Amino acid sequence: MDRQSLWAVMGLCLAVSTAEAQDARPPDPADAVEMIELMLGRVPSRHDTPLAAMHGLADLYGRSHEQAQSGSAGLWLLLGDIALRSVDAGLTQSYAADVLPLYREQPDTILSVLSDAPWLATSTCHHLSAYFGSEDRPEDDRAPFVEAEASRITKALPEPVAAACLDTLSTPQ
Amino acid sequence: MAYTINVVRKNGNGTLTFKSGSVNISETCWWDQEVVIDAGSYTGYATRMANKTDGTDGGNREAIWLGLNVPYNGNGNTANGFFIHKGTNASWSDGCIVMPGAKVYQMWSEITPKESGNITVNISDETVERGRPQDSDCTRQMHTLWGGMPAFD
Repeated sequence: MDRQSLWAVMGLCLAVSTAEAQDARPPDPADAVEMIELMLGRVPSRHDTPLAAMHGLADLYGRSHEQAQSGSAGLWLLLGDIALRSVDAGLTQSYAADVLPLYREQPDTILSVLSDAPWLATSTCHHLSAYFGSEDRPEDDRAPFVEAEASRITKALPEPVAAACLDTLSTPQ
Repeated sequence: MAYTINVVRKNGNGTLTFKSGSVNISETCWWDQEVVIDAGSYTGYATRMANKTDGTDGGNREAIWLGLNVPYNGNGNTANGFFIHKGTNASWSDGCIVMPGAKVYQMWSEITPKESGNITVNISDETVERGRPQDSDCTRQMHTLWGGMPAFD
């Protein structure tokens, strides 16, 4: 990609982000710093001990989950992406249990975030899929869910992203 | 007071043992076969998982946290969110070590104080040796018997 094309893509991304950001609640600055530090593999600097950092991460999950329940899901789904990439087992289990119930309540809220940031679809669809069969939840509910949501997901997301998501949803994790 | 939890893994599941006072636990445990904590010794903390509300005593889920930078899969990667907690099979794991909730609660209740790095968690693998080395080179014996390699025509 030449430099002009790169700037064009960056400009488009910024335009999309700006449009989405008009409706989204800005993240708390301290939470944003903690998430950047987590992505960099650092112990978040606002916590004094490893134990405090573990509890602090759980608190961050709780705050961002509350925001997601009130219609602003971006930060929560981003933290889910970090959890999956960093193999945070405890946090991943929480996402496996909590993403699908929120999706059932607010599918358009979740899909709006994924439409603006399709790269979050990999982890979000993984967590949606992981709901079924984990922690003794029934696997039988998977197929009806995929069948019911396929059309909505296909309409909301770019074609390859939707196809990958539906494939993930159809596959036991 | 210091406590010790031993986890010995073998053939896809393991045995967790814990002794303290009148508590003597030896229980089968499981984990996600795709995320396997490296064998080693870790500092554990008796705590609760803030985002899981299914604790045996009605509070949040009781657990032993294994601390920061725990290596897994033997590939140099480390992670911060491994716990020992309740579960009935590996589908509860994602890398955590799980065993029946009543046993976790019994062990967790015995450990005081909570929220303190007062537990040594030893994780080891028991290798299974099958058969025994051959006593001799049977091919050489055949060559001696036949006076060389037989012709297969």
